[in-house]
Amino acid sequence: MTVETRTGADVPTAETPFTELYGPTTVEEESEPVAAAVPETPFVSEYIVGDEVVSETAGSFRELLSELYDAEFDETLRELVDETDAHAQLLGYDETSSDNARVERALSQWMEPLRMEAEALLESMATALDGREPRLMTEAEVDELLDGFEPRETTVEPAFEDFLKKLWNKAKSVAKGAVKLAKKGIAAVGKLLPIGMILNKIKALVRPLLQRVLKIALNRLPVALRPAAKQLATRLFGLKEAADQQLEGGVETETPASADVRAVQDEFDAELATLLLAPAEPTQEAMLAEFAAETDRADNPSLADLDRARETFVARLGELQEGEDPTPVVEQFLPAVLPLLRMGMKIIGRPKVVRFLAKLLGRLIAPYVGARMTPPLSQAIVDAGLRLMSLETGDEETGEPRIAAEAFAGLLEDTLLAVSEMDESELDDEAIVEETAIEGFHRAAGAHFPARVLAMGGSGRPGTWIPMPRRRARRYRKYSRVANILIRPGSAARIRTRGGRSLATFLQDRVGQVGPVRARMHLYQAIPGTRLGAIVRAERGVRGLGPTAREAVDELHPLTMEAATALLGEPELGQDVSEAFLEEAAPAAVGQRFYFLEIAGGRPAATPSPVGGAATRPRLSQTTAAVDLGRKRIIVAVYLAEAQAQALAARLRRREPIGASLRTLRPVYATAVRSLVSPAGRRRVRIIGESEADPVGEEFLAIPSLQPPTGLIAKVMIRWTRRAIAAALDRQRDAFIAAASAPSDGVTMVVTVDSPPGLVAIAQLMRGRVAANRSAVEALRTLTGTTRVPPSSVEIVPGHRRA
Amino acid sequence: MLDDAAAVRLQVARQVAHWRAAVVALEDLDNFAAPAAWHGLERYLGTTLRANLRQAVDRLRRQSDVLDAQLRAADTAEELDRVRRNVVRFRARVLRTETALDFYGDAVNTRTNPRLAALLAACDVLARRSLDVVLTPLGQPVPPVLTYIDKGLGASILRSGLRLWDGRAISAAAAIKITRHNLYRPTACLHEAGHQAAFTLGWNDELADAFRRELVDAPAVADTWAGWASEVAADTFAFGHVGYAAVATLHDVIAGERASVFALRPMDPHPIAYLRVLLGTHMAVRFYGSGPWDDLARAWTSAHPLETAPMEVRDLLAESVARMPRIVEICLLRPMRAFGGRPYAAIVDPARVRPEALQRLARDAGPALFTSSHWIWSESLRLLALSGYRAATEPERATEIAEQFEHWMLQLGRGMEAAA
Repeated sequence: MTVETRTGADVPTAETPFTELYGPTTVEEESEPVAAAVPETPFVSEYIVGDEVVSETAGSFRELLSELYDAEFDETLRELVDETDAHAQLLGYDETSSDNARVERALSQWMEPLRMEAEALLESMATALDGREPRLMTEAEVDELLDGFEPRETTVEPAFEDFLKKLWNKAKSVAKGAVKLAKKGIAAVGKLLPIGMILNKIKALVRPLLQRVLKIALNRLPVALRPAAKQLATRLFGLKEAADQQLEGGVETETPASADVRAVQDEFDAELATLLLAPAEPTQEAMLAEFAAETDRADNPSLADLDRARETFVARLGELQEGEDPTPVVEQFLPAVLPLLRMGMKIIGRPKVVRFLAKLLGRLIAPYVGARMTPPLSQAIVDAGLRLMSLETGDEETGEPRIAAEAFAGLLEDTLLAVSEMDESELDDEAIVEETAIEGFHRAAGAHFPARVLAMGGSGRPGTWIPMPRRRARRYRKYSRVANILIRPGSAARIRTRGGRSLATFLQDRVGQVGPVRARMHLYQAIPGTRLGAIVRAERGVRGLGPTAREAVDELHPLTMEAATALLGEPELGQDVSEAFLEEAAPAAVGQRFYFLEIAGGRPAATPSPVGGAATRPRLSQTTAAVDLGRKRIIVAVYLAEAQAQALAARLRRREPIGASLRTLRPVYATAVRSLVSPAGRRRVRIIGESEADPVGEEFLAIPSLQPPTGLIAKVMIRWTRRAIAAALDRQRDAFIAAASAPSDGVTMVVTVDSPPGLVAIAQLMRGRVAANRSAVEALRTLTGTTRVPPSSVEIVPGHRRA
Repeated sequence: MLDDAAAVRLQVARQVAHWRAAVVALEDLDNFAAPAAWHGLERYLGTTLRANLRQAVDRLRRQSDVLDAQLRAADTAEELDRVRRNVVRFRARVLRTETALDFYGDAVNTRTNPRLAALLAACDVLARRSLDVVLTPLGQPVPPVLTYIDKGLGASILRSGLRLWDGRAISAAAAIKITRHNLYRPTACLHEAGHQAAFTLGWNDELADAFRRELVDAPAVADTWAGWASEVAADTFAFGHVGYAAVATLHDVIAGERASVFALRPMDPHPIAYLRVLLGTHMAVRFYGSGPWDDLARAWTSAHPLETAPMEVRDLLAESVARMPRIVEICLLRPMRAFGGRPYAAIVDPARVRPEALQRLARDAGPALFTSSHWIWSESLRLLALSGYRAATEPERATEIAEQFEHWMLQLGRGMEAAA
């Protein structure tokens, strides 16, 4: 029996942009993703720092750092911090309590098995290499000798085991680094100790390392920790290190909300590299002692002070009678907020400014204090969504006066944040301080109070930003309204999220969807003390977040104005931040906003390990680069997450036109390559062999009149990458299909561009510096006009690989 | 010796204390299912379910507090007697709540080992995704789904949104029973999910009305099919998602002796088995043209010739068969308010699981289809359709197909557990 069927013949065609499930829909034309507007980044100052290599060891030191750096170590440390924090909560630690020492002791005890395991691991690795001269070994021999020590199925908890694995990896890199140095035959080699001895010395670094983790978890490590190891290296090797790698001391005007976990690895690596290169053993001993002491000394009670001051403010404001002047209450509160803001200390140093601000802000909130005003204000906040949030979290919230008082605390904190971002020279001008404060106050009022209680609606919106968590010291804010949104592929491709990815790439990687996606959008804001991991764990009633959703941190996307416009149609709900805060493991900036997408249709699948180990969330697509100055080449490794890799393999099997595949790949690497040449991408770039190619003694100065050539360089690099990938898809089709069929998740396309023009300049740019002379910049500029395409090759490998 | 009032008070007080203690025993949900079994649930499902059950127990606890207060306040014999009667009522409530806890506890406890837990977690995903495709675009919430395994021939569902045994708490998760023999062909869980969708969207009544309206030329047929609307809707739902796999599996479940194939049971919402199979094959013909379903239909009708059907149903059968293409149209292609004025096939297009489309999927994805987390997650429903289609059409490779099926289902399920 034959009956006419509804659908047409089954012929291979290029994938249609129309979704199969939801019927015809408006499909927006793909256009190049637009970089987030970052109006506050003063690019000029980005290039004023320069570096100067004055010794051969300095070059080796930098190269060693580059070899030792492991992106996954950042992740592991972050997890360890979150685990430690969770454990502190179990111990009943409230950060405002005075039992800090007790909790710290209990946590150290909890970490003790990890410390012991770590030290034992290093010791056994050291024994295996006992007496081996680096000069007489090869890297393969190191691997062979040490591979058997990989920690597997240990009895410690998963986060600990993960740390041990990364430490094992790090120790292996140290050993290989020693071998490499020895082979190079540089001056230090004569003094290079046997590898076993070096590994034994690393043991002494474990305790301070874990101590730092603990202090970050307890929010007691200063946001800007003195980079002791780097400073020492500077002294020892005559290295003039620019402070551009860290957020603190960089060009950003924002304040990190918490200590940067990545700095822990940076310091550790600097310590390891110094151990390898330190000229004499006594220096090493002194150095190890210094590192331990530095960590012990570092203690910052500012956040606990702020918690206490906030409580006092809320209580005292609530006690004020109608008509009473709140200025003394404000005056007492402000000095607790300021130390946690970037320029805050400068303001504290000017008591006149503090008094002026207290008076001004006291006057601004005076009409709203007292028993007649605060309950209705509290009620308005409860009605604006707090009640609904409380229902979801199982807490009961009433319109008690402290809710309004807390909103005023938040309002004052935000106003001070605005003032602290002023230029220092402007602080002398009362009128300008006043203008900034009033402007900040008005903007903050719109964030903390619903429109209906603001004069003529003010700039208020239906929801308000609620300090969270409700039952403990406040560590972030959540917007009281959750938006139901439909994300269209066109707009998702234009929205940049962290790690140089577009939202479209993220959605495809994580959810495996290419069509329109429906989601509930939850909004968060960072305040002093916010760690993204803490938001993830503290949230309740949000599918995908909560105490066990450890890996959801990378699902908190920056709510830039661009994202807020595209997803919510409300640019003002977004907050733009400097590029450096858009990097994967970067801390949040105070005031920065984030969103989490609760996507209908279940949680994203985890990937069970092919060898039967623990399952993990699928890795996201990522593009990394290496500039090898010695071998004169640039390597761009485009890792396609499993979903992207399979979709591409399917297209190749269908023998769709190469252009169609290229079109879908472009958003994955183009956005990422663009971010590689910005401060957001520094940690995804390795510069190799600069000691040989760095122009010694070249002058670096500010070039205020020149445009930064990052956009041009990105364009050229995208062009090179695209050509190489296009050729590979054509000629290495089967290799890609085979890689996609392998058990590992995803496929990496490793593009190598040989002898590209402007190599040194590109390297400098990627390190955040640019040669001062106009001709160098002009040389970079001419790259875009050049028709010469450097030769390139592509290696296609299963799984993830960094450049 | 106590006076009468004191004696009554003592007896009542003892019972109040007893039932208050009984409520305390209900509070620990680990008394109803092993912690490992609870742990085998995807986190959101587990949290929702536990919160749901705790809510029921909390209500009991509050009621027991009231009872206690009433007892303390009771002075007169009359008041004490009222408390005594309340105790009896309360006892019934405790037992009803316990029934609910037992039911869910037993369901959760069927995840007796990691393998079974993973397979059932995969069934949870399949059922939930099938609901998601339909409900989400229509703005309806998708409830969590808990599948469990039990003996028997057919699957069943305790829908989300129903009142539980205690008469108060609303079930927050849909609980779907999957029979042991069909664990490797769980298309039945989609039929059950179809009941949930139809209930949520009001599809059943609308479909019944459509039968009455459009089969007006045969009023008896129209009325009978209207009575079967809920089961027909669920079959339609499953067909849309997995195509012929649903038809073949259904056939194997309801195939039987002549008496059962032609049985028309009063008040039974299931269509006569004979017609149910033919409805499925007609759907396949309507959407896919000719194929293995033609053979199934031929084998079915020759094994069960109409003339052997009992006289009282023979006309109904013949008239229904004659109108089967129209019935298929009504089910799949008639615009319905339930689907926002669109037909079901516009929401869940059966063409996505036609054999050629499944073959194309297998060709495009290559060997990674059954191993890649991407394909297993994003195409789980079509993988079920493909596995079911192969099992139905290649019985000689049954073992290989079953192994492949188990492999990807385990990977899907373990992925969900890991996300827990």
